[in-house]
Formats: sequence, C-alpha cells, structure tokens
Amino acid sequence: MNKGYWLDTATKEIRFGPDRRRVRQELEDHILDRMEAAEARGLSGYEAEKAAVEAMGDPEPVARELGRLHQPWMGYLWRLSQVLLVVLALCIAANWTYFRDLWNNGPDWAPPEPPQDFPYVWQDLSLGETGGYRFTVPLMFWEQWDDGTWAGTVILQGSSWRFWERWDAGSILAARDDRGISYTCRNHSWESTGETPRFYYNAVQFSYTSSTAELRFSGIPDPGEIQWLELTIGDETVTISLEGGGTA
Amino acid sequence: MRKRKPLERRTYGRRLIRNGVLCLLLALALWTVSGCPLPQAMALRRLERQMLLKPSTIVLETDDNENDGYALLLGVTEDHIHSFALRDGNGSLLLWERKGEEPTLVALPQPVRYQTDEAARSAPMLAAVDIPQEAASARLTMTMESESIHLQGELPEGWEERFHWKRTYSMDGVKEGNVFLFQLTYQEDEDSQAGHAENSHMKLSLAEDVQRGLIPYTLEFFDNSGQVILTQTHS
Repeated sequence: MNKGYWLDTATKEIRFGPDRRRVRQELEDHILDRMEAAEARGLSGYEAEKAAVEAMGDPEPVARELGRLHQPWMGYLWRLSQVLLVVLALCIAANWTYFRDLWNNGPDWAPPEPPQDFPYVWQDLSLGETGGYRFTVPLMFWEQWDDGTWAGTVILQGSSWRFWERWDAGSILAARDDRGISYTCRNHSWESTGETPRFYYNAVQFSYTSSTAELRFSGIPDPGEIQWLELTIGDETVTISLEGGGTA
Repeated sequence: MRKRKPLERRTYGRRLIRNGVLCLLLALALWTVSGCPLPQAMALRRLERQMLLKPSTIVLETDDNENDGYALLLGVTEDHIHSFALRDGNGSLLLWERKGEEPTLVALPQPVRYQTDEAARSAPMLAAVDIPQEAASARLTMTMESESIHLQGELPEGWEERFHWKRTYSMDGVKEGNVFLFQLTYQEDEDSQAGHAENSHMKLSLAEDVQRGLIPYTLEFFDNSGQVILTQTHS
C-alpha cells in the first residue's frame, strides 16, 4: 500500500471537501515525518514509505472514525453562507447607483426659517405619540401679509424607528380650530367651511425615519384668535396648542 | 524532521454567525433600496398603519395577473372605505367616507383592463359598496364633463372637442360578493382628439372628481324580477 492510496482511503468518509483536504494534509505530514525518521535509520525511499504507511495502521477504521468526527453539514452551511454573501454583494454592486442616490438625497430637508422679530413663533412642540408615530411640530409661525392678514405655517413631523413604514404625510384628512372653522382635505386639496381662511399643504418631505408635512393657512385677521388646531390624521387626531408662543 | 503547520482546529460556528449577520445586513440594505416590499396582506396592513387607519375588512380582491400586476382591493371599516392598488409588495390607498346604510360609489385606484373587439384597453373601474341585500343587478349612469377652460380668441380646429367635452356613460354592474363593479369603457376612438380628452379625463381626474362629488350620477339597483329597489342620485 503506498502513501497516496492510504491517505485516499483514510479520508474517503469525510464528505466536505475542504475538511477532507485539510485532514489529508495533516495525515500526510505524519507519514512524511515517519518516512524522514526511517530514512535517517538508513532505509531506502521505498522501504521508508512502506514502513511509515504500515505504522499508520489499517486505513478503513481510521476512515470510519474520521467520517464520524467530520460531519459535513456545518461545512455545507458555511459554504452556502459564503455563496450568499457573494451573490448579495454582487446585487449591491449592481444597484450601486440607487445606494449612492439614497445617500446623496438623504434627509437634507430643513424647515423654513421663521421670520425674525415676529411675536408668534413656536418651536419643538411635542404632540405625543399617536398611532405608533411620534408627532412633533419643529416649527410653527405666523407672518403678516401686505393686506394686513396673517398666514400660519405649521411644520408637522411624524417619526418612527420603523423605517419600512414611514408615516404617510398625505393622511391628514381634516383640520379644525377652536373658532369652529373646519377644513377638509380631498387628495391634498383643502376646502374650508367659510370663504377664508384657506388651508393647504405646501410641501411634503421625508427622511429615513420621519415624514414632514408643511401646512399653511392664510387670511387670519388676528393670529391671537386661534388657541388650538386639531388635525385629523386617518382615524386619529392630534391637537396643536398655540398658547405661549415666543420670539424665535 | 519536517516542519509541520500548527494544528488548526477548524470550527464553523463563529464563521457561520459572522457570515449570517453580514448576509442579513446586505439583504436588509437591498430590501430597503427596493422600497421595502412585503407580501400583499402585510403591505395592505402597512399602508393602513402608515395612514393611521383602522384595519379594514376586505370585501373585494381582483386578480393581479389581469391588471398589469396590480391587485385591486376594497376594504371597509366603520367610517371609511379603503381602495388599494398593490403591486410588488407596495401600493397606494385611496380613502372614501362611508355613507353608512346607503350605497357608496368609489373608484378603484388603478385603471382595469377590458377587451374590445379590436384590442385590450384599460379604463377606471367604479364599485358600489354597501349595496341592498336583495339587489340582483345594478346600473350606473354618470355624466363626465371637462372643466371649462377660458381661452382668448378662437380655438384651433379640433380643440373645441378637446376642451369642451361631455359624455354620458351607462354601465351594468357585475356583482362580486357584496359589491357591484362598473367598468367604464371608452366611447371614442383613441387616436381622435375626443379620444385623447376622454382618456386623460378618465385616467387623471375621475377618482378625484368622484371623491369630491363633482360627477353627477344615478345608481339603480334591481331585484330578481327587474324591479327597481333603490335609486341613488347625485347631482
């Protein structure tokens, strides 16, 4: 029996290739060590190999024991995970422009600057949690128009860590204020119960974890008249209290 | 003596965990960049949660294979009717106020395919929800009119038809469970000026116009003997 045949027989039960090659290498090192020792004692190359292989014993029981020790499933799983990693990395590379755009077009939206030296400015109002989203008003302000009337801007932000289901900022269905004026929205077009004020979405923006609606209403004779504004969002309501505003 | 490599105990557990975590992160990134698609039932509930709506009971579901991959669904809650269009795990939702005991006419959010003698075309489909229990058939008659546009001077030839356009459509309903479906079909040749006006009006503004109550219609329900059991008129 030569060295190659013994090694092939002893490792035949190891089914996972990389394991089989590693164990074969290790066993071959043992045989070569023995051969070197035999040659040092004066045996020829052929005799040294024969003696070394005989000293290793019968390869069949070794094969069975090695096969029992080296179950292939973890190896297969590991190889599968490597293949999956490569496939996923290729998919990422193929979609690289999307990732780049996502990164470049990230949450760079900033609320408009409030007018300076105006008495009616509110910032960072927390409206609590509704429907699984945390609602805040990063900014609200009034500005006076040339005709003497006032226009209000409300930046409403709904946030959640669930990035896969950002709040739909188009779900604001209606609004009403404490003066009894109500506003309804149909496909982002607002109708109020009176001629004025008008109320409408100006813009809707989103980041990875939040959506922001910019709501504007105009034609208000005196902003001090409105104490609160209640928004109907889907089946829920949130109330924005407008008491205690301060200068920005 | 040969110099042997040090014995290396090869275990796969740690490598498997590392590769598994990396695979999960990469798959998550790909899922995110694909718009976070979900199976249809989960996508529907996600849309409702995103709009802070109560979960609806589905009363109609169309086959997505027949409609450019879109599955069109209608769901009802106590106060609202949700009309969904879902494709590839994402979608859109239109919200309608439910009239309660009366039937409510809603538009599905995507045009639906229908077959003519010559070709397949697609046009909006309307649905009547909360129909009378004993209704065996239904008919919808609606008049669509383009918004008046004020232009200076005379209109070029053919533009009159495009800008001042009015048609009456009469449709027999197809009963699907407790809903009647009404498929709008084009009256005009699609290559004509009137055909363009009809097409753009139907596809762009019908749902919004129905939602805002701008389209006059008559909805009639008949029993098995053909007697009218309910007529709903909106003018």
